[in-house]
Amino acid sequence: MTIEALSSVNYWLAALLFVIGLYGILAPPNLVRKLMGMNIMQTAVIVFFITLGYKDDATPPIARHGDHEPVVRNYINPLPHTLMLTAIVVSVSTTGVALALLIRIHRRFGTLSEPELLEKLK
Amino acid sequence: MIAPLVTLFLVLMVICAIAALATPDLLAAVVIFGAFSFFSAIFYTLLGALDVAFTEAAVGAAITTIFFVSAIYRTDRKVD
Amino acid sequence: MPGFISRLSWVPLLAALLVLFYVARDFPRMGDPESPASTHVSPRYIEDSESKAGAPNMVTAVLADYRSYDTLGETVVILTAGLACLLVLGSFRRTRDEPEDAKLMVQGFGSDVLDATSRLLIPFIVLFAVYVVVHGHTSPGGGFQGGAIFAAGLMLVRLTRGKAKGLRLRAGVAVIIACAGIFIYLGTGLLSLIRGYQFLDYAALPLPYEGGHLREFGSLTVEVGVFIAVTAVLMLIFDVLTSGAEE
Repeated sequence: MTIEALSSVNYWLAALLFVIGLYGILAPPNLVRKLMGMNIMQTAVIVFFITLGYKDDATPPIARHGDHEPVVRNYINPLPHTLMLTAIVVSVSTTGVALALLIRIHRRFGTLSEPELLEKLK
Repeated sequence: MIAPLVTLFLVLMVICAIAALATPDLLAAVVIFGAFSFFSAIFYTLLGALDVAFTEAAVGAAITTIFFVSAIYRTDRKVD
Repeated sequence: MPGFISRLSWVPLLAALLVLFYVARDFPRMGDPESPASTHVSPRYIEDSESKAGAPNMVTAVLADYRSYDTLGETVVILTAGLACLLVLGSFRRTRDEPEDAKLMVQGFGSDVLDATSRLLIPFIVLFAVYVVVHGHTSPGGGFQGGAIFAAGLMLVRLTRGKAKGLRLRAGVAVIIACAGIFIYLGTGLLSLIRGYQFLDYAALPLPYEGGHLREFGSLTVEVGVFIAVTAVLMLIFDVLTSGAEE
């Protein structure tokens, strides 16, 4: 493989993480594992965005002390970081609501396994 | 060099994700999920995203783990 | 899903994975400074954030000044999630078959090692949370990070001492505090509207500064509002998730 193809290994691993999360939503019968799969998918998307914003030989996006005319080439792109900050906070809120729903389902039906739930709902 | 280190942490994250979905005990799965969040926080630091790493470490390692553990304590703990 | 479908689900997932691998060759090389993500609007954020927005931390400048309307929407999303938790599980009476372990999260562990360690750690955690919020414009930090760390400190108090401690931040009080945080955020925006500027334009604040300095104080006000809202909602969700297990 050439050097250019090797640099997309990070994108491949982010895609693999996304598909692992999707498998975690579809295949396991337990509802808590489905929730973990959803969280893994969200983390994969955040990994992808942060990888997009990286620049070679650049510093994190905080202006250095005394540097009042920042050269754009030397600072990492701050825009994906801002969007992903929102994504992380929304992810934890969704996890909290989903866990409250899971406790309620377990209290009402006594089980957290999806085939048994489908039986009891009939 | 930074490039193999970044890929190494991504591989560690993939291994943690597969392990969290395969463990029969849910409490062990939650702990491995906390390790997954921690590795992703290190990954974001290596790529220069300091605010995102800060938020992920505070929210993923502490808060999401506490939420999951309290939900597991009130429902079944061992499945499969 | 029936058993055979969830066993066969790896087939379309493998196909999706191969399609994603094939498409990933067209992405820009990782680290390319001329990639399309870095050349349209973000050069302006990098160049102007210290002089015009008053914050050397470019991520906080974008979050609290250039795109503060999105941050307002995000804070309201957090509040909505807290309210949804309260509606789903808040008014639930304990039934008889609650698992025994669940009482541990409400009574407090009562061990000497945990007591001594938490007495050492909690003042520093709370102080660090306030430091992170106030220094959000010159170092990594901001409202969300400070709110999460403060909530983690309060959760440590609740877990080691029992539910009567930790500022007594139960579900009812926490909702009011979260709404107060959002009112601070909205109030800054409405103040700009009342004085004739656009919504959330920090040039309208009645402070004796100007230019970048004034916008720095505007974004600090907004970050304090976000901090209060995030702490209160995280404590609300924690209280709802653990409080049904008392005797």
